[in-house]
Amino acid sequence: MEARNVTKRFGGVAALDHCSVEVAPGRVTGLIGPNGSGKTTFFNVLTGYLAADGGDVFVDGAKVARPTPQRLYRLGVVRTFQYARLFPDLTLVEILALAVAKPFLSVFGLRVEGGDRERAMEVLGRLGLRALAARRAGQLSYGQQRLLEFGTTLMAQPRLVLLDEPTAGVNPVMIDILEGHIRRLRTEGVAFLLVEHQLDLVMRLCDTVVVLGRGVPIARGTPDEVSQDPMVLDAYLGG
Amino acid sequence: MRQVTGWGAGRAVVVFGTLLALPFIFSQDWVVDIAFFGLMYAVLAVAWNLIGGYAGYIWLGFITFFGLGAYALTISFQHVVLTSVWSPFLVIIPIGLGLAALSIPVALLLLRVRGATFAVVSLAVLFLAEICASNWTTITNGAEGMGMPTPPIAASLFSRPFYLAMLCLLAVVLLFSWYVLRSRLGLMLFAIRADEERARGLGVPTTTIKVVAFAASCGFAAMAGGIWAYYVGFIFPIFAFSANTMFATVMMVYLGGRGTLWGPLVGALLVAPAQEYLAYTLGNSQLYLIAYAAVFLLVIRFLPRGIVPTVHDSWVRRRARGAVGGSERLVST
Ligand SMILES: Nc1ncnc2c1ncn2[C@@H]1O[C@H](COP(=O)(O)OP(=O)(O)O)[C@@H](O)[C@H]1O
Ligand SMILES: [Mg+2]
Repeated sequence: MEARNVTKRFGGVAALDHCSVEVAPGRVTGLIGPNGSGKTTFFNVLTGYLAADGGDVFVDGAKVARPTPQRLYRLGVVRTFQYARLFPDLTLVEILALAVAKPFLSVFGLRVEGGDRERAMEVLGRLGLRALAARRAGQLSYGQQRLLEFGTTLMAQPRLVLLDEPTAGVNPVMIDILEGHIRRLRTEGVAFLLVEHQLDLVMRLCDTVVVLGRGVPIARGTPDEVSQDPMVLDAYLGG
Repeated sequence: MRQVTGWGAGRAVVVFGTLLALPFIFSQDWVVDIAFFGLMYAVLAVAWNLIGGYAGYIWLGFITFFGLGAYALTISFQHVVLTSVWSPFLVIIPIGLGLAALSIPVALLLLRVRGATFAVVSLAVLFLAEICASNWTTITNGAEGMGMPTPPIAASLFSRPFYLAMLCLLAVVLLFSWYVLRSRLGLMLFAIRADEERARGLGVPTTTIKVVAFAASCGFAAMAGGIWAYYVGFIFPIFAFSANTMFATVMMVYLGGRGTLWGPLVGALLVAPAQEYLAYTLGNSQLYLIAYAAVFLLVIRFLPRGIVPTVHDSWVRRRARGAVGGSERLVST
């Protein structure tokens, strides 16, 4: 997947300015940068939530015409949100079942099909949430909700997962679980784009790191290269 | 999770058995007349709940389709002599399907906006429809109204066929509502109500799902309108496209419990007969509107979720305190 020359303006101010990033299967690409540098906006464009003012998104070398969240979802591009966003009145199993990509006519089938329930239970088991399967999402702790968010991406058989600060507000045990899953999926060929403030996690996990500064990539390379780049140090220290 | 529990089916049998027996036990015309309006509002409330309760779109143009159904039936029976009381009821089925189809472009236009904007715009649709019906005199005969032919039936039995037809429609719309709740469609509608943007990010085809709920609710409203027009015999734009009917429907859904299966029906059967009775006794004064506003305010203040979820929860809590036995979910909230 590739984003080429993506530009997005909010009332004259360019949140993204000719921003290009490419991700490869089985690789974890880190996207870092100070607050307000456009990371979330970039995610929103890549997942069809925001229409770009310029530039294109490509999946498998083919341009995605008129990207919408649903269309990208069907192409295997799934995301989590920076702030846990879930459906407080639905149960964990229902939320995970909702995330399964199915043909349209399945909407006239059961609320939760047996097969989807099994898969949901399996994912909940892996995340250590199995005992809470019948609870409503609103009853979970914040950390558990974020883990459930991540769980939805596991249901979708994704090819590219975009994670927006997945560890914010999550305790260390859960971060370990999360990291384990990212490593496992990576060996299965899933690509990741990871926005993360915890730099040690980024350095441990990422194959490539892209640094955004005011909507433009100012550096890219391996974690080691990037962490020694004077521009990056400057951008971070200078805010 | 939500299977056909013995409870649910049993309740349906009791409710519908009672409603079926009612016009044979109390055969006075005025009782059946009031009961007819109770059923009509129950149909409207259950149908509105599909889009207003499940999907969370406060669709205040809903009664437009009630009026369109009423006019569609009346217009198609101009200059017809009825040989059977039943034939117009059959025509109501294609009218419902046709108007459901007609509602799809309306849905595609309106469902781009949400929340309060949607509510306001959709109310404008109702007013617009009333203005059109009042002024398009070549088709609707305008404010002078138009009539259905008289059915060949003994005056002493007059209300019963209409009551039974409305009861059938209520059974159908309630069954449909139950089916939606236990299908993936219902799951998606609930997700849309809670957070539509998030639902899009999980691949939910939000537009199509909303249109399905919208069109179904409009189709049922049209059928109810058809039966109503046939029953009252003569219709006017101000009664066919009435904002009072609209707000009454919404209030009943809120009172009973929006987004639940039985709530709208409970709300309608509590309020509509009271309203008809008051209209009977108070005559044409619009005093009941004040009572309405008061009830609505009290509901919002003391029963924000409506009667059915509140009663259900306290019942479950009592049972959980009582003995073993899990908290079976009887109501889908
Ligand atoms: N919906 C929006 N409307 C206006 N400005 C926005 C909107 N979303 C983001 N911005 C602006 O775009 C810039 C980038 O924000 P964001 O993408 O959230 O940065 P990050 O995720 O890197 O912290 C900020 O200046 C922010 O104020
Ligand atoms: Mg952000």
